[in-house]
Amino acid sequence: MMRIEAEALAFGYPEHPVGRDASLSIGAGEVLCLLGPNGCGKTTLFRTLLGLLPPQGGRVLLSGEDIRQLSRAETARRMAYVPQAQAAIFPYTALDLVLMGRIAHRGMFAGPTKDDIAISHQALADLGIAALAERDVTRLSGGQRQLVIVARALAQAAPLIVMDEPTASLDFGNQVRVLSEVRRLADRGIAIVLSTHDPDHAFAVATSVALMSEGRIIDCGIPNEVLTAESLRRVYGVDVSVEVLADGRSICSPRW
Amino acid sequence: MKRGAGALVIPALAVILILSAIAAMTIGAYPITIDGFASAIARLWSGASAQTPEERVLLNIRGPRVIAGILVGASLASAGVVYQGLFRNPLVSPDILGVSAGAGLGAVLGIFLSLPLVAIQGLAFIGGLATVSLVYVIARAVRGRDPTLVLVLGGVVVGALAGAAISLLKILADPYDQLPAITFWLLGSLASTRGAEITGALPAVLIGLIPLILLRWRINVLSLGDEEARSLGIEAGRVRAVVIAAATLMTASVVAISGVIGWVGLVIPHIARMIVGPNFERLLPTAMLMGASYLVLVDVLARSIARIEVPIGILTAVVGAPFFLWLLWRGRHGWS
Repeated sequence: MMRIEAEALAFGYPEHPVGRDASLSIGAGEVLCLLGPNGCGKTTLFRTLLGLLPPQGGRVLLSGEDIRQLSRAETARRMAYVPQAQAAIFPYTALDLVLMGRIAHRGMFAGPTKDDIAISHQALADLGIAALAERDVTRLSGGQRQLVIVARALAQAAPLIVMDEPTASLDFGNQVRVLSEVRRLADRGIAIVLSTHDPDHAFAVATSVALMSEGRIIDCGIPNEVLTAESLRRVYGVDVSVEVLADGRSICSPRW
Repeated sequence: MKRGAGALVIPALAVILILSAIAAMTIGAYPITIDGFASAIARLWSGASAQTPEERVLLNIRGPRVIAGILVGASLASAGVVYQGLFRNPLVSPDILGVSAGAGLGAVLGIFLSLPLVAIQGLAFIGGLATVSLVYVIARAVRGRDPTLVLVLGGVVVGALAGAAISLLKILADPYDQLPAITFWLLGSLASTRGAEITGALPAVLIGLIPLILLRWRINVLSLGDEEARSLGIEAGRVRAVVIAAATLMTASVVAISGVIGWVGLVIPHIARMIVGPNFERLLPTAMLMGASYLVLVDVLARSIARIEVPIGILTAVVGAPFFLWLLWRGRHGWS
């Protein structure tokens, strides 16, 4: 069973520690939402979870194995990464970009196989963007490009997907589209870790929330318990109210 | 471009290259008819020694020159494709790491010391590799910054130093004998290329080409940047080092036989990318074939537009500089 665990993780740089004592555990079908103000260390924690930065203490386990013991390809087969939306530099087709998710499954000197191409088409179709396959990614909208990158994570066939602010810089419709894909992926049994700036996104998709402040995870648990008017005021320094709707969902709105 | 459509481009470019080569062998101060060319090639192919003037011109002068043009054009274009992808910057070229300047310094030193031709080439080669190694050491030493930026700036700095050293040698060189040779070499030319030089450079070019072909898919992924490439399962640092070493080996080996021919490594990768897109699997062969044809044809111009031979580097600059400006003018999508 796939599970990512952080044990008493200290993260940052030797001369510039960012945070410590981060402990997390996410398994199949769970969605962990990481919430915290700008500069609280979310991105650094993510980079450490992904194995892009060495931990300054503690460890990251993927299915019980220390990530430092795993090769890059082995890590990529267990954990896919959806970076923040950014402008594409080279005009790859969407299919070419999704195909790159398959590289961890092939040998050092290989090219993509027919299977890889079929899997990539399937990943695009799963996200409802099969029609974009031959389109130039530099000419796609931000939301379309983000979905293409999610398709790449699907093609990577990893049981865990880490998303760094997948809704950042997307318009409202695209935010909803990306979040509903997150829910569908979790329903398929994929474990997901994502960061966001919007408590409502956590209410919408998360099975658990980790609230971060100044490099520490100050609370972690189910969204309705962690995200309260009190805790949000403490972390963000603004007055908000959290209300439970008739259908049991919560929403958060600022108190003007 | 759709998958598969590139399949037509490559054979078409191969045909263009063959036609360019035939044109280059027949056009010149001693014109050869197509019939004469065909019968001379048939006789030489069967192993006969060169007897007619046609055969001697083909075997000793134009043949090596055309082959050198193919080798140099293909190598500079593929190195350009690699550097542009790896540095994630469509405006860089083999000159970016100071390869050309370093190789130039080596060759100028050889001419200054009146060394034989083989030694001049050897020094050019050593100069090119030494510059890149130096740039690489600088980049490793300056940690904690954007590694690509440091690499590029290191290349500019080391290239400028090599340029200063070249200027010093030009001042000190004998103005009647050495200085013209240095100047001519720095402008680039295929005029003095002979068979022995080609057989010297060919293995190095092939050794550089093999990793580029084997790692073609990984080179694509590296163009997304290091973090993304690593998260996709690639040992980015190691692959990048191998690929840069390979591209540099190719550049330094051809600069050693042709002198400094600028712009090819910038212009050709762009045109190739416009035709087949950025996927390295199609881009590499396309750029190689285009670079080869381009240099063979420009070399025909170099030896036929004026009574004296025009250094080929001047012509590639005359074509390349306006093209570069056009790219800038077209803006962000200009190189796509």
